[in-house]
Amino acid sequence: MIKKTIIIAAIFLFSGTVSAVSDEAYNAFIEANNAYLSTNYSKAIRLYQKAIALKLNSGGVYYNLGNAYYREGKLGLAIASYLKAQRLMPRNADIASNLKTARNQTENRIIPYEVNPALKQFLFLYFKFSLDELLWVSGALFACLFIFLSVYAFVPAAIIKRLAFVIGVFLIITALTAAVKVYKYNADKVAVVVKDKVIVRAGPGKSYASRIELYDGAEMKVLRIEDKWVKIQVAKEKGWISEKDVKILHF
Amino acid sequence: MWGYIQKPLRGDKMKHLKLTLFLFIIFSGKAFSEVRIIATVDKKLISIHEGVQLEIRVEGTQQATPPLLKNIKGFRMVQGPVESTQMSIVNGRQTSSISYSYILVPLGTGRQTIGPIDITAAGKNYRTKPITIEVVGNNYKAANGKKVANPNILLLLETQKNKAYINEQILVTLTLYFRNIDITGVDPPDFAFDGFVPYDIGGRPVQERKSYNDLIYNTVQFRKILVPIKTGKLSLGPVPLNITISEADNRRRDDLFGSFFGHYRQINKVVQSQPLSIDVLPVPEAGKPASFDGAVGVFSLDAKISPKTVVEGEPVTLSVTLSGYGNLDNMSIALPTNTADFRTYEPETTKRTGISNGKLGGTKNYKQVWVPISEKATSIPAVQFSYFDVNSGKYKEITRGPFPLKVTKDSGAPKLYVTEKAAIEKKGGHIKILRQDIFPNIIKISKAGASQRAYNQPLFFLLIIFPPATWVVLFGIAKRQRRLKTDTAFFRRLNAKKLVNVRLKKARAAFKQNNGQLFYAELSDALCHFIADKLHIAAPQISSASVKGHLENAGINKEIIEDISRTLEEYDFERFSNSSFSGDKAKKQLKHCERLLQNLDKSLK
Repeated sequence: MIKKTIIIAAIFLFSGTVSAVSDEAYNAFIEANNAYLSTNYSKAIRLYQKAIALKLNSGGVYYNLGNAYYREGKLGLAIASYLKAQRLMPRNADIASNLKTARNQTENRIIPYEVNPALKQFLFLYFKFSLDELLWVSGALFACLFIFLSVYAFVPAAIIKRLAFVIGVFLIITALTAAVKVYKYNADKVAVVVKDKVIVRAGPGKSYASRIELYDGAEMKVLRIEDKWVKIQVAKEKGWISEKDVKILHF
Repeated sequence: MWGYIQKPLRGDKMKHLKLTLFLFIIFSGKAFSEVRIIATVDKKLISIHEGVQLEIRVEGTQQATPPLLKNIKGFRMVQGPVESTQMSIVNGRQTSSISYSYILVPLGTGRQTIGPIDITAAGKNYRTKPITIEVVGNNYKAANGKKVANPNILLLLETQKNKAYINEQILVTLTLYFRNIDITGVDPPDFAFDGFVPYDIGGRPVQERKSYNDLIYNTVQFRKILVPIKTGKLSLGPVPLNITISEADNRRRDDLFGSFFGHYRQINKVVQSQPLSIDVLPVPEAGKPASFDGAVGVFSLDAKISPKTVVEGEPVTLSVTLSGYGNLDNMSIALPTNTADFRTYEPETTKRTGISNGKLGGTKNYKQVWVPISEKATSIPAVQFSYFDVNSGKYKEITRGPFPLKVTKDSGAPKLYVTEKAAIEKKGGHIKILRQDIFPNIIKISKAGASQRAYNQPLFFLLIIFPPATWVVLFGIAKRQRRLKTDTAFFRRLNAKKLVNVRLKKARAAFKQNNGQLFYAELSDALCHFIADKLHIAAPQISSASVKGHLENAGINKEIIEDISRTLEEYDFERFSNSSFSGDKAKKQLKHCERLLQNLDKSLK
């Protein structure tokens, strides 16, 4: 009976448990790359969006989409795509560079809060690994922990116990880091202006007084969303902006 | 004292009386309720530095919608509406009212009119009478020469200059002057002005004594740095300030202790500054350098590279330090990038900003890695930074470099490629970057696993579910095995069924051989050993005589006990008597034994 269970589980485990990209999505990505190379950026944008809609959830697609938007002169949408790409591929130097280039061309030049490089090095798990990577590492450590515990049930050697303890500690660190990442993505939503010029108002409506002007590509923190108006914070300024004027980066 | 005992009212009568009273109260109130709207202010002659309290009172109903007072000409609402209700019944007459209070601050001097104000009460629209208020300036004298009371408090908003360039920092001070008055609390003012980004100076407000209009005042000074982010004539203020004043309470003089120690009451008050305007000019177009990127202030630039001799493919760090006074948060240096002979990386930026001597400034450091991909690389291009110097009113351009570099060839070094070259132009001995370009597209992506997030992948859930489930099963097996090794009673109890099957098999074999003695001996052993194994006692202790005691202690049904005892006696009789072996009888005995064993197995779990 136990043997049968193990065999069935093994078959289940190794038969298509990792979802691969559909051919249609991958072809859209390849076609989009070709359109980009032939400088047909609007077609490239359409095809990258199609690939994303077909669940091709790769940082590379968002990065390329950002490049296409950049070439089209849509700085806000380019920055939003680079930010999304950076979440999926946080160690990619090209994404960071292109994001910086796009930010440098914005009118407002609102440079988001930059974390101290030393702190970045110390919290490398948080800053250098994507949420997916952290989840996979946590999942693998979790599986390893129980494999060691299973072996320990039959061979109660001290070394196995110690290894299981070490794995457990690493598991707690990676799982907590992933949890903090999920919390931050949900709690600190980011929005990017995608219109040439928008007015930040004192309240959620056009009748409220204007407070500041923001231009394409300005990044801001989303405080809350209310009836198609978004309460935002830029530097130390707070105000309301129409939801259609910004691209909000959702989790 | 009444001369008789009143009978309690019966249920129906009591209900009628209550209903009549209720209707009387409701309708009598309605009958007398005539809606009146009254607007009042606490004073009609105020200084530009004061607020006025407006009260709109709705009498005769509490069903009213508070007016929003967004656009009162000549005033700005800083507080309200604060709602209060009143209801009273006097001599059967019910009166109810609701009041809305607002604090308004004037936007200019002269005669100002509040209202008429529209308000909806009890489903009808009403309009208040207009109220005229005279607002006087800093001379505190009204048109008829009357002096405004309380020139003891004033709030002044001051700036260093009334003309500034966009992105130029402006120091703004808000000073509260007061004399002959005890101020116990001041709320921090709000410096949010349209078109400006405010920066905190930090520290506590400055308190000192100062002279104003030949009088000595105590002052509290708040300071901020404002950076204009748009051009044109921008207005600052008026800035309202909430203060708390401690005042002697003359209403309680009859109190013995009050007359000795004195009573004080805290009064909240709003004072406001005069408005200011600043002309924010765009930086001049004439002489604007190509590298100008909006920096306004006074800056210095340092740059160096390290090391100065490298092997092809080895990194060189370009360190650039920008320091000075200006809004460093909103400016950056466009470092050169992507030349034909180098691959560059995104620079790491650190900054230390703050306010010293009333000026916003600090230091911004850039560290950028340059990797020579060809031995032809002879220098790292110059770094340029230009800014508009507010002191001289001219643009200044600072150039550091180019930085000579010696690159030696290394045949074993990996090749690096730059597929999209930046537009470069050689000019005056250094490379000038015309436009920063982006890195090229990613051509290949992994097909596996890129379609969904990790938490949507079946493998991820297998990793989470399968190992713990396996551990639970294996842990159970290991625990059972350890017990089998150490717990004899557990081992015997588990093995009892297995051993009894062996004995029954032997009994069946004896039955086929017509060996009656062996047949009954095996049946007797099967029964006795089964009971002994289940109860963890020695098998010889079980006999037709002793079995009753053991099974009774184990809580077995009396009928089963009697049956077992009788059966064992029969087996003993058949084994030791010389009677001939009857196949039918033996078959029945075998079945009976099997049934007994089944019942025992259930009872001795």
